[in-house]
Amino acid sequence: MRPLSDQNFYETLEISSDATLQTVERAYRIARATYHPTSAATYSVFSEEENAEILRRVEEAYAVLSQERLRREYDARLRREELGDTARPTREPVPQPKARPVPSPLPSPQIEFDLGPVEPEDGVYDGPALRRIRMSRGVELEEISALTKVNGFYLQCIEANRYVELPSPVYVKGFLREFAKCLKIDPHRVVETYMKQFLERGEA
Amino acid sequence: MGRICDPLRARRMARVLFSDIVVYAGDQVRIGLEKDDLLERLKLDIERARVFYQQNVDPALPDAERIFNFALVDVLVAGNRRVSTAIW
Repeated sequence: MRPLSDQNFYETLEISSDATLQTVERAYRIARATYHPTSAATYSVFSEEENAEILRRVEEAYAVLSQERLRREYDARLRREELGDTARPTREPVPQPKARPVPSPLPSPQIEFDLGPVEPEDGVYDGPALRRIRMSRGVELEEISALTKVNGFYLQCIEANRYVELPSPVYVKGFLREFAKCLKIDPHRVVETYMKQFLERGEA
Repeated sequence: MGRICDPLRARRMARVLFSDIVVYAGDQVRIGLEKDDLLERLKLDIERARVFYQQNVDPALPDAERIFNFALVDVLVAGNRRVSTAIW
């Protein structure tokens, strides 16, 4: 069995990539019951932290695979990865150095590093603005992820304004609220302004 | 927000800037180490990081440049020791 961080969402739920929605839901219910803190099946097998991590991963997998649009996008990224693309549908923020397809000398996939003022002058918090504030506070993305329990991949998507790779709005709002609290900026303002762009451009 | 005058905060900012490069361009860091062209490959990213650092750190801070360069080596190079390369 591959480490959790290397598994894709299908592997996490132990289903095939062509599983129906009913199968996804059934696998999700089984996984939740299996890894629930009170479950006898995994009692003493995993620590509380490991259980929490697995459960979080299961919830993420279900959030994506149970929604047709998100699942379609996720499948597309999985296929691109199989073909050697650098997109990372799995959750690890930093790919481990291991045997990979021939590396291509493509330009850095890093988002454009906007050097504008740290606090947005118009009060609109987009991804690059959040990133600048985070860096000016001297906080690493991994630290935010550890504090908020939000998957680092989603934090990257938020900072890069990659709206289509984010889950449904209800999750994104929660992510943003936690992110803003960590950065000590007004969560209400961040959620309001970011979600406006997310809903406008994410649907485009 | 005022500029950073504390060397510890400057060091932290420098490390965050480079850890961001690892997060967002991890593949390029790995390839750069493997091919021993890291500084050239990530030239733009490093320059942008340097500009951001210089905008936020008080130029009067002693060793400001050294702190930045040390973080570059520590995070981008030493932090990726598992990469198989002829450099080491």
